[in-house]
Amino acid sequence: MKFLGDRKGYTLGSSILFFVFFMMMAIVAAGLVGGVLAYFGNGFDFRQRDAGTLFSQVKHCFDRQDFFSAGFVENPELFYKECRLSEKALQNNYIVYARKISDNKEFLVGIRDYIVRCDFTAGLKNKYLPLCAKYEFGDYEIIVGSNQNSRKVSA
Amino acid sequence: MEKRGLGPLSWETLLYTVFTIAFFLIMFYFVTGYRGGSVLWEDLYAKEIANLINHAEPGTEVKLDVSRLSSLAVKNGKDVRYIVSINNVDNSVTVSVRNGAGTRYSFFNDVDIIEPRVEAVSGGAVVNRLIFNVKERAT
Repeated sequence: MKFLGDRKGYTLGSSILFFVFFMMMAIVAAGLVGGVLAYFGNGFDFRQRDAGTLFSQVKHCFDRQDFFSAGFVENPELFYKECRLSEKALQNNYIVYARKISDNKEFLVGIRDYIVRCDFTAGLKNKYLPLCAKYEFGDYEIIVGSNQNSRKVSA
Repeated sequence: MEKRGLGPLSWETLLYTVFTIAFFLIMFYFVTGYRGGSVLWEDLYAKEIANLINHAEPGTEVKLDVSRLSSLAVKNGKDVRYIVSINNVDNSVTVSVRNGAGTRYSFFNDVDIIEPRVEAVSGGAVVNRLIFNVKERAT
């Protein structure tokens, strides 16, 4: 009896079947994940609360000392120290932006691109966009945004 | 004479079997994580604890009821003492009520969290509290 593996086109056929197998697995996985997330929800969205908490701390700090005259623009390390904020935490998922409107002087820590992304209305549904708190008072504008989501880790 | 042992066809079958088993194990692990809402409660508590730390002033002692977490941990066979861990190096809170997995969330308040521990409230067998102290970060 001739062995099946010797048949012409067998290799091509089995490769295609392997692809079909993975497609089926992917469809089943998507169905399961979708079903579980639809039933249980996709976690709690804390971005707005996070932004609000950070904003109140930044505003409180700004009220104590003007960022532009305290030298924070030239030396952001001072900002982290004086406002008791963690540089490591703020660098990845946040923005703290202050602008002196009259001379357009800026202070920024975190991700600059969030200034634009803060205005995206899609951010309310898309958890990969930041949600922000904006405030204008006198000659100043402050924008604080958060895009932090929880991470699944091994523990 | 017919071939014996693992020919090309058998290797392929073995490969399919291994992939199928791996796939179902991963899916089982994913679905059981949500059983009883474990993942959701981990997520909520990790965020709430990080939020508490963000609001805390140095010198504060925080006591938080984590009975819901401890009952889930007991169901999943996890030691209640290790359901919450706080890392001062990367400013993160990890909540885990499952063996081998958990949920992490970072806090931005630059403080040190001292002696986080889960304790049973005296007189209440099913009430557990997370207790920790907030201190000024040592430079």
